[in-house]
Amino acid sequence: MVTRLSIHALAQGQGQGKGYQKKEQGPGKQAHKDHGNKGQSQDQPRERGRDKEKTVAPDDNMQAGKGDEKRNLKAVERNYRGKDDVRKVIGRDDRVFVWNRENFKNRNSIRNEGKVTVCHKLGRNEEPPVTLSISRNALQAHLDHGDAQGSCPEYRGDRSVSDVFIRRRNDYYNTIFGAREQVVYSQSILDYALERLTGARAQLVTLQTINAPANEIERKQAVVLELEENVSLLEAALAAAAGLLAAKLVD
Amino acid sequence: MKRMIPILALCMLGACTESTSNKEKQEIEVMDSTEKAVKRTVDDLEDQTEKVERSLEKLEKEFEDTTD
Repeated sequence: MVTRLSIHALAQGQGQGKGYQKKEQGPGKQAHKDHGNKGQSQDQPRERGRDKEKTVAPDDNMQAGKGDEKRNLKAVERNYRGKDDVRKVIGRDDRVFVWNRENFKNRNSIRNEGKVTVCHKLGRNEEPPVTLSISRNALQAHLDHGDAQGSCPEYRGDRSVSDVFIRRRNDYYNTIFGAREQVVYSQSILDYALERLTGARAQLVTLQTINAPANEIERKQAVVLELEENVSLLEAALAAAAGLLAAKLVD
Repeated sequence: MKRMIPILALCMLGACTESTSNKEKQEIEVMDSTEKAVKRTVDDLEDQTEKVERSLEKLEKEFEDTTD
């Protein structure tokens, strides 16, 4: 079966030995940026509505399994309310979790790789920077942003600030960036769930075609349905969190 | 008049410190309320993510040898 082969190929090609991998900087990312442009090429999928996503034809499954880029684009192309805010919040993270059946089992240890301290500068230069304790997975994105590893030195800028205020502000930004890490993780779980749903739905179609026992089909359908419902609720929760964070994150 | 200058300077310094601390107070209030809202929203997100993870585990088990 095409689906079986393609998803297996994905599992082999991704996440071996690591729970995450560097996101493509090539055409995939460009297509992501150009997403929604009228002049996009044929290789770049158009936005699809949520209803269409739920009724997956066998051809769609084949498309989904063509490679990393296709899979990443597929995850991005699913349309849900608040998707733009999610993109805004996780946009500059160039290291995201990409799950497959193997590394998904070890997701907790992969996710909790440990914390590192960085001195995060805020967009407004006159503002004192903040000391953040971040996940090791997010370190590279912070370094790329111009942050330095380690705690911030004592602030000697123009603005007069008390120690109490500096401490409170550090706590506040730690909460905000901790929330951002949760959004990044939740989005990765959502992407994986969508990919697995696609495969499972195709399998159900096959089982129906070959007249598999009715109770087996019903049991599998119930599992798919439960995941579908939880995925919809996760999308709503992601949209709410990202909507709140998008306005609060200062680059 | 000369005696007045240090007094005026002190008053101005006091006003300045007070305005800084007021500004900080206001900013802290905003941070408090935002942080509360963020924590609540992220708790929901965490719960819902865990539900999807559990459903995914069931799916992995149910479609163990068939969708890979």
